[in-house]
Amino acid sequence: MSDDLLAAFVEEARELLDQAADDLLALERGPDDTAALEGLFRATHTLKGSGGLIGFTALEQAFHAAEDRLSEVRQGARQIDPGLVGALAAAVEQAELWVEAIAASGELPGDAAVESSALVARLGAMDAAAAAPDRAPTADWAEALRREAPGVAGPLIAFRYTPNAGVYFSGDDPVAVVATVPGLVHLRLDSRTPPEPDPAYDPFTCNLVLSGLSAAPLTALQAAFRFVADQVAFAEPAERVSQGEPPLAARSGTEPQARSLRVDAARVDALAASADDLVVAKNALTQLLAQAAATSPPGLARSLAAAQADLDRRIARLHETIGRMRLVPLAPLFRRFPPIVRQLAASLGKSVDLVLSGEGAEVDKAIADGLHEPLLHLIRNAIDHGIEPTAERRAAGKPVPALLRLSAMPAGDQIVIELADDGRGLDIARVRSTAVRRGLASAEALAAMSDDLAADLIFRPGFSTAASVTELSGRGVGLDAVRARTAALGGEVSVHTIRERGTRFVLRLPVRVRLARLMMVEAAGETFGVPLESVVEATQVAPGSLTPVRAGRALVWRDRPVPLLSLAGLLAMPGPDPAERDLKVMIIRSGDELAAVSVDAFGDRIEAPLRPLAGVLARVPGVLGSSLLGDGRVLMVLDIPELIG
Amino acid sequence: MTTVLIVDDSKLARIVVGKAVAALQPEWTRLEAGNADEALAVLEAHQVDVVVLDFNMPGRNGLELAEELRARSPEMPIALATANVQDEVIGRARAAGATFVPKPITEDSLRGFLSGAALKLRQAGK
Amino acid sequence: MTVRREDNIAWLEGVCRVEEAEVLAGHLGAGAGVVDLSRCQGLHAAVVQVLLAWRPQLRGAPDEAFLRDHLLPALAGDAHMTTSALVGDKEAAPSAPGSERIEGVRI
Repeated sequence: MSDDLLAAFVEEARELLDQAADDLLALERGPDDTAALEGLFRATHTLKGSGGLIGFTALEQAFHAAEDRLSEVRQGARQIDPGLVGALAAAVEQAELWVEAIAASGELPGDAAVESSALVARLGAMDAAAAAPDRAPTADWAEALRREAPGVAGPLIAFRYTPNAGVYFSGDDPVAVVATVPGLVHLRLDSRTPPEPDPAYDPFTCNLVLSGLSAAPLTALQAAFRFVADQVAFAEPAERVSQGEPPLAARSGTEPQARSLRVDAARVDALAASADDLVVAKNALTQLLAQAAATSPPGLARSLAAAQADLDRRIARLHETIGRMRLVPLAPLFRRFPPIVRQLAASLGKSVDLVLSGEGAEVDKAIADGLHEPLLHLIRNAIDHGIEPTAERRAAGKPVPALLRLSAMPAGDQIVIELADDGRGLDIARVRSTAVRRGLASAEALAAMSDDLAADLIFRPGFSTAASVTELSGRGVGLDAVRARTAALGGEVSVHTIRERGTRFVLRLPVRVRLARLMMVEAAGETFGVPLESVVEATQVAPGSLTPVRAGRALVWRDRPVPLLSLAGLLAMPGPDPAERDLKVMIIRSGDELAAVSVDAFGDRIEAPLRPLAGVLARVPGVLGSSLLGDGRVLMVLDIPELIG
Repeated sequence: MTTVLIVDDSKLARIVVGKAVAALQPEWTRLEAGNADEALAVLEAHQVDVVVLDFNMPGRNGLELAEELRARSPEMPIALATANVQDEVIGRARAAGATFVPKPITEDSLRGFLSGAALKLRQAGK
Repeated sequence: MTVRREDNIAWLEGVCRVEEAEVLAGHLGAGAGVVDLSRCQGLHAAVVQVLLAWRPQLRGAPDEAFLRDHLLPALAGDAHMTTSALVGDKEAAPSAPGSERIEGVRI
């Protein structure tokens, strides 16, 4: 292609894209702006044409889909809605990147075909949505449902299923039908007529209305309801602005349910920090109130307690509200990975497709930021160890390129992130032998372990060492770092593997950063925090009740022998010999086992925001994070089960 | 006494369905027919309360038979067993008040239909 | 038998089928105020609607994912007695004029 033709294309495309962006903005403000619609349609049409002319197929296809939708709008078969505007804006934005890439290199970027088919799919999904029955422009019931699930991002489809009164007699179970709905994020149950719970109540006349929201495409929802299609209505409530696609402008007053403000992230963080500090200040007050209550008349003590409870509740609510403001979609994080995967795979002579899904889900910004490193580690690990070289895959009759799936799925107040490859799977026998060699478990203990438990050994510190260090996933850092990072974010990671079929890492994390409930303890002259969840009981035992056992000491707690350890010892800090006096011990649950951990003193129980450690401290085993105390000290929060190991 | 009629051109399939019915409703009497004409003949000769029809049968298929049975008996519980359904078939079957049962038939797949049918017969005083 | 009663507690165990709606309604009508779902594996819609009608106190965390993650939260949802909110009662809509609600913040 001649340079001047290319230059002309770039110049024209830039103008057309500017035009398209302006027209989209105008349409978003006024969906009835026919001049803007005509302008946008012409720009789209021309971009499609010139893309095809010069052989930039990705551009041509994306704008062909866009033109089809706009043409329906011109014919009155479709309305301009936020979903369509968002999809068109995504196409324009993508094309801007492409055009700049073409201006720089004369070529479309390597992933243009993938991006293009995603755009086509998105614009095509609008097509299906238009064909939906009962797709009123704004179905009030759907908008009401959408408001019930404010924490869920992305375009959602609402359904309302009103089974006929006699369905139980024909064997239908509407609840079982709804249980098959893919991507269900919210369910609501109503009674069709107000029920009268009295002896004459007839449980066999169906009186339910089941409505909900799903993240799945309309066609998938229709499939789930196909046997009861006559009893279901679908609608697409307006998407909220706080999600996936950058809005072209703040929403105007025409959409009261989706009003939003843009706020600088730093201000939200400052607000969140103030709320955190408020929690800390409240904790300081708690201590003073306890002292005051002990010396006050009963009436005053009660009033103080009531005022404190009220303050607790209000601060918790404030914290919660700010937590929601901090939610961000996972998309920016996820989209950093495809180029990395391409590059890593190429450097190893492997061919890998990374498929993303669920990236519209929202999590606390701290969680999204903190996930980059563990996910990157797992992705490197999958490409390096999980996925076979191309020749080996061909020989085994497996598809090339290999498939790596990164998906996110909201599950209540948690987010489940999965990274699944279709590679060779873990060699459990080798994991077992490595674990023995590295002294992570005895041969007997290993023999008693199920394959799942044995697979979990790969997360142990010291499992992967120099022998398995490769250029990519090595660097002397094992999967234990992934577990530590995930734990620091308040989550957990597990591995599931099938030989020759693949490996799946599952990370479960809180959507929001939570207040940790901590017990303060003293050991070796320092104060530490221990999450209350891991403490079964805090108690005091006489030295006489200790029994020496082979490796150390044990005590009998509720008729069970429990090994006794000292916290100072676990932390490798000097401490007094615990046998000399009455012992203060925490009974700690570690997996299925109990251990008694002695401390010098017990402190208060507090609620505090747990901050993951950053930098070099991030991977210290046994430390969950830190909390700021009322007096300004930093409290290290310990993961005692991990310390016991 | 409740009587169920099982209509399927495959003898094996009739046995499987019969066993599932026996496991779920051991008290019920079971009758069998190999095609639509046989089924109509059985209905002439016996009091039948519930029918389970296979969709794919030579001659009149299960859906056509269901429509005919519905015309004779507006309240009778009718199940239509099929492995593969098109939306048009679903619409017609629902119009005929037939319950879809996925094939292959198992106790689990038949349970919902038979429980519903039993409830309906009980409420009708049978 | 997957519905049984001890004092004022009705226990739903395993998969509760359509027939059990009547048994449960009987227990609730006879004074059972608490329904324990910790060993429940599934609820037929008829049983669900009985729970919705009587609104007993629900307790226990079942293992089954749909029940735990969707059905129980929906049963615990507030003010779901009638459909007025669902069908769009304008007066109930939370966007009173002049009260600007910040629904989402982009950061």
